[in-house]
Amino acid sequence: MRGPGDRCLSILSAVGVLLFFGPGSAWAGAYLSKATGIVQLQRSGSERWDMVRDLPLDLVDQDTVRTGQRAQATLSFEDGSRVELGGNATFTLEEASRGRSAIRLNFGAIKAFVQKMASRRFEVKTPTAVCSVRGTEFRVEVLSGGRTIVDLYKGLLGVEDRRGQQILLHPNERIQIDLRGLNKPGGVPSQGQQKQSQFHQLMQREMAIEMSKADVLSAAAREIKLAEFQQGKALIDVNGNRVRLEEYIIRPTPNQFKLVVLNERASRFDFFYYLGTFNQTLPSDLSIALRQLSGTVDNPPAYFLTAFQTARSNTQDSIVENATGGHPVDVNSNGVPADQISFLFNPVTNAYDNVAGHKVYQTLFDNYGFYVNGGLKYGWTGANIQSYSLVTAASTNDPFTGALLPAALPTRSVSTTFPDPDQIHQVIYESYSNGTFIRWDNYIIDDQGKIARISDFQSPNSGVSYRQKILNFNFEQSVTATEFSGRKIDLVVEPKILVQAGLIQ
Amino acid sequence: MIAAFTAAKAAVAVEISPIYGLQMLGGQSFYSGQKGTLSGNLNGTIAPAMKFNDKWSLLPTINTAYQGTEQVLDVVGGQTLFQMQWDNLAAAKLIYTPEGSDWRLKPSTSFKYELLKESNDERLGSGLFDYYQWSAGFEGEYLYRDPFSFHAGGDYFELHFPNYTSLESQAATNFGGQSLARELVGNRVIDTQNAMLGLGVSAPIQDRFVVEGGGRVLYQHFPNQHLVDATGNLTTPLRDDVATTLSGSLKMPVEFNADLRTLGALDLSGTYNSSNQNNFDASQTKFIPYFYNYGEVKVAPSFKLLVGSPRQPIVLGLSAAYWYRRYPYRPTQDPAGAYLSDHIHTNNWMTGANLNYPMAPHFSLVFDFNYGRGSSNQQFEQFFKYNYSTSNYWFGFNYLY
Repeated sequence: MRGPGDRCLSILSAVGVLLFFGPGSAWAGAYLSKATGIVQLQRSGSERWDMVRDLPLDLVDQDTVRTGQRAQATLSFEDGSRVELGGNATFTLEEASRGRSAIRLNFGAIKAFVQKMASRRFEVKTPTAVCSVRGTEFRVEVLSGGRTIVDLYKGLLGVEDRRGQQILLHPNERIQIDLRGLNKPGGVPSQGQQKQSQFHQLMQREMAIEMSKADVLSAAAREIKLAEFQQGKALIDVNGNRVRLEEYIIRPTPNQFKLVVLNERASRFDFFYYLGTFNQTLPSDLSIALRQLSGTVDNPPAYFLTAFQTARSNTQDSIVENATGGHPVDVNSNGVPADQISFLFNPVTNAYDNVAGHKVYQTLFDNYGFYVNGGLKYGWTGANIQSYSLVTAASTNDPFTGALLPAALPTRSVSTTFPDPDQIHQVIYESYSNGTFIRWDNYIIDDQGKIARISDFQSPNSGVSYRQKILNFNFEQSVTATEFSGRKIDLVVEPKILVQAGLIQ
Repeated sequence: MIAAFTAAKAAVAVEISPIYGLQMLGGQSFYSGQKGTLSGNLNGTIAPAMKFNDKWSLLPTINTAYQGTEQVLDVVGGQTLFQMQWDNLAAAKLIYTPEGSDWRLKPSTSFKYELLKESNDERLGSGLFDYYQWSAGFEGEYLYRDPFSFHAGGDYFELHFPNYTSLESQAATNFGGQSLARELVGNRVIDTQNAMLGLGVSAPIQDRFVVEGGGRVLYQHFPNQHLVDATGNLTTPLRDDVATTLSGSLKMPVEFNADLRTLGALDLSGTYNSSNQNNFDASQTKFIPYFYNYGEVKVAPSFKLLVGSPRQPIVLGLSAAYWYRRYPYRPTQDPAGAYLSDHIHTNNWMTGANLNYPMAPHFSLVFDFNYGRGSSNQQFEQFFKYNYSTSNYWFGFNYLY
């Protein structure tokens, strides 16, 4: 027997572990002496796997044994040596003869207890390592990719890699061998250290599962948010601030509908509503009636407004329009050239149709009033009017109730400007002879909250192409007035309903 | 089980095996030609895993993640590049391993609070889509051949958006004698109560491949969201969604030599969401039934090249994903919003490359780049961009113990 310092070992195989037995030892036949759990045997030359049931079970050369999860098997030799096989492991008995015993460990872990026999060899082969054993206790584990870990508990153990490099392990040494060869030997981890390492790995795996599940739960919130964005309930305004937008329909009575637009920002809440009263009960499909709002061609509309009310408010200030006495008029035949319509908005196609030369029926209202914070600013009265040029402007009386106003209405003048020549920012300034004003700032903004450029429009100020293009943008309207004491009403709306109702000209 | 756990806990000393993770990245996002400012992402995890004995373990986890750079997979269609997100998660999982058994039984609970600032005027903590979520669940895992297993479990969780109440419910007052809200209007209309059941299995194939498969059913109840009918009114029944997902993946690890390994993977999944909620587009006076129904399929191949020591290799990863979603009831719209006859579908692509370069034990440098594209037959994009491209890059370090 060689001394502990002797690292020149006689290695018979490039991939094996050798055990030397004494010349006078008994025959070293091998048999399975113990099997718990799923242990299967594949006999030499056979492809079939059989469950190991009857023990002891003699093995012959080239028999292969595999174990299932948590299973265990013990391979015993007649000289008292034994090899314990752990779960999920596979080995092949290459040879079990009087002079040599060898097993090939393909995967998994074994622990070997080898009797000290000087003249017999015992080999355990792994994909990457060769070890030589002389009466010892050791453990070999083969990991994925053939990486091998060898722990030596007692005696001496010779290890050789695939390149022929050799090392002699001493008690309580561990070495790892991979395709690159031998690594530096280190100490065998204590059982406690090994358990702790296994526990750490297990917990890392559990934490990965936990984080993965958290992602699945978060996806539910992401889907909800996605749907909110797709429905346009959250926008960014011209200042990069959040605007929430909700639009919905209410039907207060069978012949009425109310479109409500609600806006919320961090510090304010604004709303707009449009209440329309029709000449008859509205159909379930409201679009049948609403598509006639902008006017009909050649024939009078079946559904028309007899009254409407709009309101804009920041919950404190308000602008309200009231109109009654609605009736359809063929404006292309009323004898007023200024009323002639050549292009009419078609809500079905969202386009403007050429209607020149056709009868065009639009709804005109006999009574109208425009109120700021409840006070009438202007209005008119009439009776079955055929043109707005024929109405009587309100002056000293309310156009609806006829009540005497506290003071005669001032005269009103309107100017429209575009302060920035490159942006669609329209300012409509209404000045009144009593010194009061109303200022409308209309912005056409894209979905990123940026003001549209003039170059986006063929005709920037008004007209068919302007209104057509508007439909592709959002419409933000900011209104302030003398009566608001510095406050404003600020609304973002989809422009279609405004175009349809004639609120955008 | 709880009583047994308590007794076991009292009888033995607790072994603690802490797990730490920290990732710090800096980067930038690009969205359809716009460039975001340089920002940073930080992700930290601590999990003091506790072992009471061979049967009982407890894994408490605390994770915090700050994100200043938008991810390619985020909901980018409706937003600008400006974003700040801070996720906070506290979770605990009890793991019980019966003696001599291959089963692991794992009750768990978690609480998550996500803060999201998306516009100039939102502050961290006042974001419209901030949410918190608590969950309680149970999973059983059968390790028939460690690490391969079969698992099945269920979770109940609730999602609350504390800063989101419907505007309509806030407008439930009258104006000039006119009611501004519909009857039955709810306030916290996107809060949900959820139940999820799932199962999965992983298995080796001929020791060359690993296959994983699973299924999941998610039931979502919206306790404050009434159904919209064809006239635009709200009705008494409440919204319920059921999303069913099937997924599978095939992984193929290959070791060419000790210094060179590869891992190829192909992930497949399919989801169908079924909802009883409809939609009434007030601006177009259009009723759309089953508005939230959708089907989605996704395929995601990936490839990793691992060079060097198996313990801490240099990892070069390449990934791609394509997913197709179709809304069978949502009609497409032209650029001005007019409804068309086709139904909306979306196509999304994502590609990514990343490099993980080890510098010291547990410590590595990270470089990451992602590019994504979205396209759709939906032309109406006033509110939400269906057609876009986005990309981001970041670099930093990763520490995991």
